[in-house]
Amino acid sequence: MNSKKYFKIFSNCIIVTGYNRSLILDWQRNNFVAIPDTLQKMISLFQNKKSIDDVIHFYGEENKEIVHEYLEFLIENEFGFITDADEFDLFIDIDTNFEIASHITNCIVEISDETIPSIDKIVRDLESLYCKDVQFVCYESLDLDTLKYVLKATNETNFRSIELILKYSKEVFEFIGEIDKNNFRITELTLHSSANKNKEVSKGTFNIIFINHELKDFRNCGIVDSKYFNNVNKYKIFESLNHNSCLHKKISVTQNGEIKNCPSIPDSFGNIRDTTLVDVINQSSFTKYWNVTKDQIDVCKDCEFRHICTDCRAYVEEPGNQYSKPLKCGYNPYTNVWEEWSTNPLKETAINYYQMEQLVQKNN
Amino acid sequence: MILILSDERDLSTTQVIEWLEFLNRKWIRINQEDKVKIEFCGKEIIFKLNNIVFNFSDVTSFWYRRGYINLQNDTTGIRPFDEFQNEELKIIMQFIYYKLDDKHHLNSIKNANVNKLIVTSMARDCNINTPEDYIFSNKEGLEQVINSKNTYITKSISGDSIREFEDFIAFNYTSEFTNDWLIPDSFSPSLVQNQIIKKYELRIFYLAGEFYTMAIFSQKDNQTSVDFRNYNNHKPNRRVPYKLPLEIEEKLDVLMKKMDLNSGSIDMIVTPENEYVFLEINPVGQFGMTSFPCNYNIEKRIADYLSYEN
Repeated sequence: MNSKKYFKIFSNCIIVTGYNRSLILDWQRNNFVAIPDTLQKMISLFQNKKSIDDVIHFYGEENKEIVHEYLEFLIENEFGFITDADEFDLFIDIDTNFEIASHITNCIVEISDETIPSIDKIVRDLESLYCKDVQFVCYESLDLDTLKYVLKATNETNFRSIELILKYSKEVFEFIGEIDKNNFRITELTLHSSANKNKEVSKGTFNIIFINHELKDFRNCGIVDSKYFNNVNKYKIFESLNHNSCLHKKISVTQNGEIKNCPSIPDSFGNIRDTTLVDVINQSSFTKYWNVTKDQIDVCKDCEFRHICTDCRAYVEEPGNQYSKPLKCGYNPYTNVWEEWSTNPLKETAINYYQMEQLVQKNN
Repeated sequence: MILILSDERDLSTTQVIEWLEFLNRKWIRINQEDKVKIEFCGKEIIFKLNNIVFNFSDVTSFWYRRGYINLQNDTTGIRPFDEFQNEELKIIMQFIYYKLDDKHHLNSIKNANVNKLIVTSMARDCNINTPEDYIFSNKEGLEQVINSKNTYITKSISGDSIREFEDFIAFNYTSEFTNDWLIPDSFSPSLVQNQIIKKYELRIFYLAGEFYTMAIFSQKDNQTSVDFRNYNNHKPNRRVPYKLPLEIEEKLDVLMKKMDLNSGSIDMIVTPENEYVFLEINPVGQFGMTSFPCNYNIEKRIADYLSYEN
């Protein structure tokens, strides 16, 4: 083998090191693979510009075959390439900065009698903050006039996506076909409380999701599960490397008009009746979770999945500890086993603290 | 106020404007589809389009992204008059473009279309490696030069690559020239180059002296080895940030200055022998496809450049 040969990982593959194993996050191809600790250590030698011969020497001739097998795996899967000493340095690291031309990227509005009169104001504020994605949630049945009003208020905006989460009713169900005529920006409709209801809908311009159980508040949110690991894209990963993967540039207006980072977090920064979203985000404490990254959170910092999951600071294992692991995550990075979080006896205190006992029973 | 000349489909313009908005800059976008009226008031020129009115003297910086100002003027219907009027207006428009270039600006309409043959010749003058250019219009000449030892490619000289026919569309992508082609005795002048074997391709965005370079690994896939615009969506070619050797950057910088361009996309090939071979420059080319995979955020760099106050 030529002693001048080196190996380098393509810089759009990011290695996230966990306690027992690591992940290669291939955000260019929306893909990830788990790799053993030994391979991760070998990759880090290569990344520190040790030649292939140096690496073989490091592991000893008797392990030469294994080094070659690992290299073959990495090259076959196009995670990296063979290079030489001069060229090695020309393949510079990618700048993992997260830059986006929005003060707020996403917003949750809980629709209620309290917030309906402020919808226009909220939409105007969001526009001036260059918000991209908006979600409207309504726990009670919504009459068609109000629904039409919400659709109209958001129709001529620059939002990239608008999601609706509404309670199932015959009226709303029959109106589904009319939604895109009132607002072509709707990207997703979720109907909760839809057990034993008619779910026959023709395919339209947006996703439709039915949830059988009733949503009464935001306590359903915050679940960390591998089934949500399907978004290995640049924005997701780079935001997670630099900021909180859920709360960064998020704002919410709750049922009673309170402005919060997330509906589930107790801290309120004023009521939409008396203040504006713009004023709220200028309060320094509003952004206190924005830069809490997964690398700072207990347990998560040892987890190989930490940059493809979505964090939750609202429901944590140790309420009161702002660096505590998300309550609704059942993964143990020390054993690499997924377990049901809601029946874990160690989480019982926190479940009681957040008054989720009923919710947990219903879901099981 | 920042003036941008573009076309209505250009997404990169929209993304730069998103940054200008975020940075609280005043901007006006004129698309070539917009019908523009211009009023002249002695020393001042007033632009009117859609519902926008602005004074030329309020323009602090200018980005020539692409397109032209689609000037509307009242005609008399009397041909000699109209022809005369058009001649007069043409000269005034030249003057307006000239004055725009006088402001803090990125690119200029005068360099919107570069001549591939001239650029390659200029690149050679800057000691930059280029493929050999041959132009043939008959079979005899072609057969004298082309030998079977080397491989050759042919591509359009103008860069214009899409032509619509009655019931099909022809994409004039770069293609490999092979012996089994049926060649008539004489044909329209065509560009032939010796094929450069590539280890990888480079797509370089040049912005006022800065280089944002991306390496594209496309050799692995036969589908894209000649021209990577034949996209492979299933397994996208690896595109990663790359630092050009200083010596190459310096030569390219000289070339860009010689061409009076302060922005553009440059295509190069790196050969297995680590030679850097220049292919072409597109002053109005796409840069989103370099900006995104390398996280260069070129859209923001352009917004910053345009925001710079003299």
